[in-house]
Order: sequence, then structure tokens, then C-alpha cells
Amino acid sequence: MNTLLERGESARLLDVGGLEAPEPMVRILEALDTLGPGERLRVLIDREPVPLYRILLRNGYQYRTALCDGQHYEVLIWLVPTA
Amino acid sequence: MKPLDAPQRALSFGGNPPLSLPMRYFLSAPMFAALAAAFLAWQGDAALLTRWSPLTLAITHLLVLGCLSMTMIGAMLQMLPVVAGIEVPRARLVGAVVHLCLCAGTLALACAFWQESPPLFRAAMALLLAGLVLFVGACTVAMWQYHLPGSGAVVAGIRLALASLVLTMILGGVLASVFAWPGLIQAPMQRLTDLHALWGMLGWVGLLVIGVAFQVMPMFMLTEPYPKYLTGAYSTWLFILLGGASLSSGWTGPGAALHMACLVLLAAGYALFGGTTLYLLARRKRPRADPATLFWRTAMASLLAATGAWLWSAAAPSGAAASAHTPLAIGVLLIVGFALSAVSGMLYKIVPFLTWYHLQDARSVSGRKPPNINQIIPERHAQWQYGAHLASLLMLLAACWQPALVRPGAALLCAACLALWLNLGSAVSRHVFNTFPSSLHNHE
Repeated sequence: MNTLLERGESARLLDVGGLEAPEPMVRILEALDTLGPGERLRVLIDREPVPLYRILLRNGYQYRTALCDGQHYEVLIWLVPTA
Repeated sequence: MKPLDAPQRALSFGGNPPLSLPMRYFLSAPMFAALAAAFLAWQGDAALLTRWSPLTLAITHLLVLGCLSMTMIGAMLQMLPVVAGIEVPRARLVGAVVHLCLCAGTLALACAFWQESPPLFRAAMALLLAGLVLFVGACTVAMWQYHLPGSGAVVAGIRLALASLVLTMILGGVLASVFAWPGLIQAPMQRLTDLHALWGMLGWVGLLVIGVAFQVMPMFMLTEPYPKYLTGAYSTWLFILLGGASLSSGWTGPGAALHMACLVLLAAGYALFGGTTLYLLARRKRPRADPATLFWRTAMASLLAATGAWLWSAAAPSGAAASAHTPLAIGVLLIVGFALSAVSGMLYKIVPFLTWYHLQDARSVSGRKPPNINQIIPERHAQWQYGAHLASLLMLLAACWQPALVRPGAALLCAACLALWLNLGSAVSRHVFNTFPSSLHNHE
């Protein structure tokens, strides 16, 4: 299932499947709030969270998305360190 | 663990239209529907005798332009940036001008039909064409830009719906010209009116509802995603069938058979969407019948009933099915049963979502945690409003055959629309105006 993680990499897992909007976004934003330096968040979600992407990019986060089993998505999110 | 109320990292949601932009559309729409219903209640059964009566056309346009198109344009201006990352150029100004033109143009058109007044037809044409051309132009410029990956299906649906709107506008413009300059222009009125209604209801309204449903049903109603055979080229096929039905209209001999085949395939296509949506709603994990779900079930049941009634009247061209009652009943099923129900169901999800989104965005200023989205509009109020809407739909359907029911059915629909306006308006005023008196306009 870890389609986005390279061998040996780790990330905090957050499963927001089966939740009604905007609960997935609420939980993702709350999790990002507590993300430690260098830590990454791996989100399992039913839909591609297009509205979230704008918020992530505007706030200095990077993300990678993969379709897991033809229907559900996995999004890996991390904060880009500022120089 | 961090307490839930702690101020959150000030993530900027930025770039979205101000809340006042879509809300002016969403709060105008129920008022136009209430006005249409009040007009029907006042005029009584004279306005529900035939689809060709000027009174019926005045009411129909108050509903389809003032309520349905109003909501859909507001939703589109809001959805393009949030869902697809597409910036509509000068969104505030475009949104305000289009809204004004649509409000004034719809009122002028309804009065023009009612009074049969050429100057009012000319005024309505100028206002509506200016507003709709500005809207379509701004959306076209916007959709040339890069859009976020994952939003392709929605953007494709919006493109087809916009193309249908352009065709509806052109046909409507030609028809209005006949009334605006009497005697100057000759046109095959019945054929053009049928095509205008076809592109308006099944193209502009139908294709947009389908495109939005693909996005909204799994997101808010927690259904499984729509099957691939619907989200793929299905909408494009419906659009091609609409084109085929238009080009072959008026043909005789084998051409008439082709026209009928296009219409039957269109009816089957829309029935497939309605049936699949009802199936997905029945199969979801938490099948709680909240008001939005009830509205969507009603919308899909009405769509199936309208296609069934049309097939029945097409298969039996003489007798009871071919009377003036059946086209009126199909109109009531499509406009009030399908489109108004779908729009109401969508508003009950979109307005609380936008209110929540606005409060969440403004959290860095207010320091307050937004309320739970389900508390923004009390469910009990929405349930009552749904009950009134359903009862008025059933009464207006019966009124197509039993004229005594026109006035009570229309009065009930008027009450239901006012209650919708009250439910939506009080949610926004309670949560936004009272919390941040100036943020509705300033926060962007």
C-alpha cells in the first residue's frame, strides 16, 4: 500500500476515508499543525483532495499523490524547509 | 495532545472568491422561485393550461433563469477556483455585473411575456445577453489556464454545460427577437422553442448537474464514486446526442426516425444517470436520510418519472398521453421535481460548506474554532422545508390534470422557497455577519 514511500522512509499515517466533507480537510489541517520538523504526513483518502492542494502550496508544503487501488488516494505531505 | 480549540497554524486558503460573491446568487435564487410560485398562485389555472401561454412562459423563465441558472452561475464562479484551481479574471466585478444583469434581465423578460411588450423584450435581451456573454467569456478565459490535476472530469462537464448555455442563449435570442421586433423576423417558432428548451434543460442544466454530481455525491453524500462508464465519455455522448437531435429536428421520413432515436437515447442516458444515483445513494455506508439526500432522491425520481412520461407520450402519439397535460407534467417534473430539488439539495451542502470554509479561513483573525458543519443549518428546519417542497411538487403535478389544485400547490411552493431562503440566509447571517461584521466583503 505504501506506494509513495521509498524503502526505509517513514511518515505519520492519517486515514480519513469514509468521512463527510469537510472533516477530511479539518483532520489533515490539524495533523499538519502538529507535524514535527522533517516529519511527513501520509494521508489515505477516498477522493483526490483538489481544494487542499492550493492550501498546501500557498503555505510552503509539497505533496505527492498516488491512486492506490483504482478508487482511493494516498497523499504524502511535507513542509519544504525555508533556506 | 493539542486541545481542539487551540489556534491553528494560520494556513492561508487564499485566492478564493469572497463569500459575498456566491452568496448573492444563492440568496437571490430562492426569491425568484418564490416570485414565480406567487405569480402562479395569483394567476391560477390560466397559467397552467398549456406550455405556450405567455403567463406560463413568464413563470418558466423566472424559475429557469432567476432560480436555476442563478444558482448554477454562482456555484460555477465559486467552484472553478476551489475545485479546479482556476482563477476567473476579475471575479468580483464579473460576479457583481453578471448578477445584476441576470436579476434585472429575468424580471424584464417575465414582465415582457406577461405584458406581451416588445420594448420590454428588447430590454430583457440586452440585459440577459450582456450578462451571460460576460459570464461565458470570463469562464472561457479562465478555463484556458492550467487546472489542478484531479479536476479534469468536473472541468470537462463544465465546458459542455457552458457550450449548451451558449446554444440556449442564441436560440433564446432569436425567439425573443421575434417578440421584440414583431413582423420583422420570421422563424419556425415551435421547432426553435423545442430546441431552446432541449438545450436549456438537458444541456445547460442537465449536464452541469451531472458534472457536479460526480464531484459532490461522493464528497458530501459519502457514496461510492460513480462508475467509470458514466464519468468517462458519457457526458460527451449526451452532448453529441443533443446535437444529433437538434440537427435532425424537422426532418421527415428516415430523418424523423433518426431524430426520435436521438431523443430516446437521450432519455435512456438521463435515466441511467438517475438510476445510478439512486442506486449509489441506497448502497452507501451511512444511509442516513438527511435533507440533502431527500432532495437528491426526489430529483432523481422526478428525472426517471419525466423520462418515463416522455417515452409514454412518444410511444402513444394519440389519446390521453398526447394531450396538453403530459408536456406540462413533464415540465413540472423536470423544473420543480428534478432541477429545483437538485439545486436545493446542493445548496444545503454548499452553503454550510462555504460558511465553514470562510470561518476556517478567518480563524487566524478571529481565533475561534468554526462550528461543526452539520450545526450551521438546523436539520429540523431543512426537513420541514423539504416536506413543503415535496407536497407542493405532488400538488402541482396533480394540478396539471386538476386545475383546482394550481393555487394551493403554487402557494405551498412559494412558502417552501421562502423557507429555503430563510434557512440559507439565517445560517450565513448568524455565523458570519454576527462573528465578523466586515469580513463577508473584506476577507479574501
